[in-house]
Amino acid sequence: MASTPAPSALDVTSTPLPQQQQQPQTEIRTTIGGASGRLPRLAIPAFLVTGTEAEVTEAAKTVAEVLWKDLEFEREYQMISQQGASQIAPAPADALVYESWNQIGADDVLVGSVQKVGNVLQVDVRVMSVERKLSTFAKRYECNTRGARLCAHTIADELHKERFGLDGVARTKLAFTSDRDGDRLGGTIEQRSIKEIYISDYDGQRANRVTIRGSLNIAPAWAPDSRSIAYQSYQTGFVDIYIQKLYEVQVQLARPARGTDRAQNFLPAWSPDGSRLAFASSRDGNFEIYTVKADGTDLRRLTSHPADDGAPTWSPNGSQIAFTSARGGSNQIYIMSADGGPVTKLTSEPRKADRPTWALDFIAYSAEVPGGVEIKKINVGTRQEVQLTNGPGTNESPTIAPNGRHLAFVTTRWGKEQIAIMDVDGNNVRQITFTGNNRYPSWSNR
Amino acid sequence: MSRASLALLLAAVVAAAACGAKQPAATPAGGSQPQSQFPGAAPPRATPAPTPATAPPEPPPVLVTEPPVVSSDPLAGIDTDEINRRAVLAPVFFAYDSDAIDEAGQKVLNANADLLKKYPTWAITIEGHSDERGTAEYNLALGERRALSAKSYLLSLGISADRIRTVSYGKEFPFDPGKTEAAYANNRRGHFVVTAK
Repeated sequence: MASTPAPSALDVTSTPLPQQQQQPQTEIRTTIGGASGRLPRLAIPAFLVTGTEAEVTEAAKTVAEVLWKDLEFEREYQMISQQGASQIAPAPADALVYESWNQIGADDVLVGSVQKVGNVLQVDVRVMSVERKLSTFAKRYECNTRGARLCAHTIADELHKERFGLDGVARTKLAFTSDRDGDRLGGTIEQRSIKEIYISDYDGQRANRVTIRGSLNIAPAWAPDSRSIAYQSYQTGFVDIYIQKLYEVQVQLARPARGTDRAQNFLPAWSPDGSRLAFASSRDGNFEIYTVKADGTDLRRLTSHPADDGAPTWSPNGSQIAFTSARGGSNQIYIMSADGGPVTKLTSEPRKADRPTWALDFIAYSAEVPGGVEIKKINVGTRQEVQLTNGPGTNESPTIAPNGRHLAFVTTRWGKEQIAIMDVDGNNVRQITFTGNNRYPSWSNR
Repeated sequence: MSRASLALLLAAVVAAAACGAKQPAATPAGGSQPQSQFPGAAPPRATPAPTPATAPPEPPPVLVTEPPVVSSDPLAGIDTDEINRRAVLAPVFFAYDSDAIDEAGQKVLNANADLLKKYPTWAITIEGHSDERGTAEYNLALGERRALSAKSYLLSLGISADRIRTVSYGKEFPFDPGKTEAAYANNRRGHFVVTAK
């Protein structure tokens, strides 16, 4: 059905540039950072533009701005404000006035120069060490002229990787449910908004609707290869799980849980190897956890309890599943083998815990508290808990960035339901959706 | 299945004949019919249950001798949209975080069961809804339990499972977007939709 021509990594290519004052990479890597105990300070002066074409000037500005935000996001650099950097006239890498940059406290200066060659935006990026007066990163990026944001995200990811060995998330994506298009369902009972699945960059930009089901579509889950999304749709009048491939035309969407009005299926979660889906279903009377191969075969029932079991999530290595259960009286998070069997209680929330999502050694979840819902995380080994949000509004449905450093979640603190991202310690909350109601974020692997 | 539909068809004919024969008895006139309008925010407890009335007596198994005159049954001539607009099948309301059918809920469901018996061709969907408190995922499960709870009650009254579908919307489709107790109460419901007649 809706096959969104999504940008692929091929939209940006990068090649190394000659280093300014050649230095072996290994030596540079051992000297990264500023003074001991603090992050290196990076300035990004305005990019230099060859020519006067408005499109190129605009693209250069966008690349610099987005790159600044991407680099700030991972906090490997302490970013010098763009206003601060603007005090010093931009100059090519070989003509930097290092003394000036030193005076405003920069350890590194990222020099970008942009020109249009044919239809390609050519962006040269050099990170210059103020102390050593040499380039520690030098690459040429060839980008689509309308792909300035992706260009910046690519630069950020590569710089993070080369400089800090970090898998950044600038090119990862979020999937979520939104009613932003304002369409209404048919029918006469009352006004109900159509909610469709959207994907966007991690920062909420470049959002695209990927479903056109004209129905209620919620709880999207990225497949590990980031090429498919499983979600829960009401398009037939009952609830089932659908798999939509993003880059292929599909006549009919796969429905691995094979739902009927007597076997309805909720809240899909992919196994880390992409082979199976875990989900909740009421097919045997009340909510239980099941898994099934993505091709719809080998259905397995994992839980069997008169109290509801729901919201499954897989451990990073795929051997375990965390889920919610009311078996102890109130909804709490439990862990079991991915084949079922004995369960271990993980949380002891005074009220309820819900929507676990597992990354590295911790599980983030929604906790009901007096007056609302807040995001918490719990270390699976030590059981140490940290509350990450504290109002305003409710904060729920966490999803964890693939590098484990950030969370996206739903908050009502700005009025409607919006998606925000924050660091895994609860700091640096950023609103990334602004239109309509947006819910059920899922963070892609890449 | 075909036997079942034949049975339904026969039942429908019989019911229609019964209605034609005893016009005033079975169906409350338009004025007295509880017409909870939606999205009206009628407080749940105030929603009057349809007069249970005594179920129409079993019609004698005889052929109607004269052709039935145009029925005055107010529901006969309208489509399902209109039936749903009028909320002919009243919603059943629930206490906070509960799927239990309380006494008021039983009255509503008894009346709905009577109507379903009177109109045996009707097929319905019971939607389970919650208020906005609590998490989205938990409320999907809660809505499912509410819908299934209302369905079980109807089954216990002899309504065929074939006629009842359920679906849980959790907190996705509140009837009243307000943040008052009254709005919350109005949103915690098993909502009835007639899908075929």
